[in-house]
Amino acid sequence: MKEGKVILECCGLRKRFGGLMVLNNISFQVPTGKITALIGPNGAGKTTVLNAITGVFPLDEGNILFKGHSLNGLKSFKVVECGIARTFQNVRIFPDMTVLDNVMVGCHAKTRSGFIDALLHLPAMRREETAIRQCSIEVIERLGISEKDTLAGSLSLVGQKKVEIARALASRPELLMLDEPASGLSGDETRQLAEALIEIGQEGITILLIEHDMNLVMGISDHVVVLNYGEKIADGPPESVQKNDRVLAAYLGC
Amino acid sequence: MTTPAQLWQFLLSGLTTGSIYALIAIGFSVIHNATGIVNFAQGEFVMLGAMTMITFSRDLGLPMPAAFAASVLAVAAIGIGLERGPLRNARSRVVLILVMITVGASIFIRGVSMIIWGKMPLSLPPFSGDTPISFLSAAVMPQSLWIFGITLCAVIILHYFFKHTMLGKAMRAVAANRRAARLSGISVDRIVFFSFALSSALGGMAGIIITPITTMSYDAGVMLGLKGFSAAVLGGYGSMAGAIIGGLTLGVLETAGAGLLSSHYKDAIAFLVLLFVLFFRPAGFFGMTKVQRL
Amino acid sequence: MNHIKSIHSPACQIGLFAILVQGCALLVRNSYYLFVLNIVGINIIVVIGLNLLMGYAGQISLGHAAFYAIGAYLSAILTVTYGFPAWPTLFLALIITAGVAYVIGIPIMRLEGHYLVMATLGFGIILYIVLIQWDDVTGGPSGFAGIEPLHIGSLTFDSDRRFCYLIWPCVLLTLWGSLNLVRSRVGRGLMALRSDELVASCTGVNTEGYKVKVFVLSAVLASLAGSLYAHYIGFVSPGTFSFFYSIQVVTMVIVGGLGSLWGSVLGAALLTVLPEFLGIFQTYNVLMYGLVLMVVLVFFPEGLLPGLWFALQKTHRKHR
Repeated sequence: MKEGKVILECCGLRKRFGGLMVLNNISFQVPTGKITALIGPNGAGKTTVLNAITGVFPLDEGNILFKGHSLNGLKSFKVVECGIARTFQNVRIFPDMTVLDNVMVGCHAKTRSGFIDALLHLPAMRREETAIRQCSIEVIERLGISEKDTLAGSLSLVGQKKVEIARALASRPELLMLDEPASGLSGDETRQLAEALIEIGQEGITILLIEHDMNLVMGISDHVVVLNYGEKIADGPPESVQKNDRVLAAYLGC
Repeated sequence: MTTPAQLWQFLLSGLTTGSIYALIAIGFSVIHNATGIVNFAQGEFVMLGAMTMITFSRDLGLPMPAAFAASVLAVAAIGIGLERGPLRNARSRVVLILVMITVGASIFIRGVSMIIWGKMPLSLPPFSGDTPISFLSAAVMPQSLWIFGITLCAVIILHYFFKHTMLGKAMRAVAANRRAARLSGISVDRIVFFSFALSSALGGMAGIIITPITTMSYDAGVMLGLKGFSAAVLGGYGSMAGAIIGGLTLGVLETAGAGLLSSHYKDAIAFLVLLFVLFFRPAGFFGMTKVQRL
Repeated sequence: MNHIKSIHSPACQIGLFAILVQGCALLVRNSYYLFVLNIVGINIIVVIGLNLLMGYAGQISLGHAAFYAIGAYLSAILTVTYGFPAWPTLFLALIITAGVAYVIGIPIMRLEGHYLVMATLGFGIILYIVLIQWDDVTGGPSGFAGIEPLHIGSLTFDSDRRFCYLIWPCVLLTLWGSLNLVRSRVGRGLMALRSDELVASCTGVNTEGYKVKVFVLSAVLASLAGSLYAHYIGFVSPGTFSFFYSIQVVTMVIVGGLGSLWGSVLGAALLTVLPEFLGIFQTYNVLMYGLVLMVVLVFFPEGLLPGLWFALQKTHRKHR
């Protein structure tokens, strides 16, 4: 992992919903191999940034570069194929599928077999299927999920969050984007999550983290971007951001 | 070749059937706005309106106005029954399942109607004679005037209702944002109930006024429902103005198409319009593109 | 649940099923029963295809009669009027159906589910009107006769019993392919899509592409069934392909259970056989289908057979 390289670059993002400017000229960079946190008060536009990156809706203006290639106009599944995986703000797993199946869906981006292969049960497809299963089981075990054959919807919140992260990791991403992974977790669970994230980061996966838990953010991130009302108000290492006047004002409301 | 007089004639008869489509389309919109589902039994309400009218006026000998009111009420009751019965008690809240329940209901109503009223098309006498009136060199059936008049009245009353009454405003609130409406104390249940009553009554009324011109049979509901839906989609699904303009446009297109191209394929025209709109402008011509919610 | 899955692979299950059907066919002497068995087979092919669309991709078509009709009428018209050879025509019909479904599917699959319901219903009715009105080619309301039975070499499938040996292998193949499909990468993608389309797409599933493809696949299966039907009966008329047939197959899917392929087999068998032998179903055919469709969806949205199965398990557990 080389130091100083940038994996994701957002330049001048603008998005308006009706009369509301949700993103106003937002630019920031995500350094390769680091943990970057995207923070800000509710309604600051953090999730909108994630949705724009993953092609959930088109931007009005601006450009998103991933490893130097533009993501503009790409559909969501193409973005995943490029190497970006994400989780959702309120856990969104596939509740009526098993944990293993959930994670196996995550392998979609890196596998090829299609309708014809599946219908005819061709050997290439069977080989791929075995590989998918193995890869998924590995990810599941690494995240310490014990019940791989239960329905994902019947797990506890922590369990579901783990499944969601496992599903994202199964696509072998270079950039993992997590939308408030710690919300609803207890102190202990958050500490476990922090360890898991650091571990994932050490394997060379870049992380973009949206989070409200400041202890978690300041504890593990290398770089922090602060949004407020759709604008970027600060950008830098955690220590300097913490002292930034505009950030304090936004958070304390003065 | 077609003369201007013929075109004028097409326009008039197109507007007549178009008014009917508009009424059906409004019915679709009202239910869609309250519940988010497409009610496939809408066409069946139209058929039922005509059939109950035939029973009330011909078989029971009620005078026209009384039979008219009784039939509209009867169809409204059936609409309410559909909502209070199968839809409300459905175990699943998935929209597509609810939509399919209305499909089942429409087939059921069709089957029952076949047993009650038989397979042959039935007719009603025109409300006021059948001597055509000459209007700017085109012949107009008095029934057409009734259709225009009743549709116009209905539209004016609805407009007043949605703009100036509490219930009407509550219905618009539910359409705009169900959750916010509930939080501000509107009983969504009551709105849904009333939407079904209103839209089935409108459908029933449409069936009663068109039957003297076209006759009605137990299986005509699907076709009428689909044309009403096409009209609603053409105008922009969920909007009342769209429903009216869509209905009238579709009526004229259909009559003109049947007159100028081929009368055999008259019924196909509505669906070609529907498919065309869905392909090229799914939001309709007067509707707004909805922002996709996440 | 688990061990059942691993012991019974699709191939094994289908083998058992084949033996069962073969047994039925051998035991039955009455050719009318064989006829019903064959019609069951034809319906199963349509219903399985439709269930892939409804149960796995979460989309509903009310126009499957149209695809069924395209297969039947293309086979009929091309072989009789133009003297095309039967088998290549059948494949040509499949390709044409696929093309039509693709063209309809692409724009509509981007919209909410009920637009597909309406669009397919509209398409079905247009096609029905064409079948009736274009009588120079289709024979109009009175139908189109004189379609030769299919044959392989010197074996002609011209009796009820012989046709049994054509249709049921096709059913088993369809079933085998479909079971493979739902247990594959594509099947998981489809289930994910039904569960949460946005998330599926953000997890790497090409949701729009999958929806169109599964729609095409299910149309193609209906077309296959249609071609086989035409060659079996030797005569096609518009009445067979009306809106009501679309409703029938949808009801079969729902009775058997959304997303349960074996349920579809049972659903198709049940709703094909019952009307043949129950008087009430014959006199009140339309009413009964409407009632079944409505009641099942209200009380057992996951399907009648799976619903009853769960209910049975529940009472069983209570008793213990």
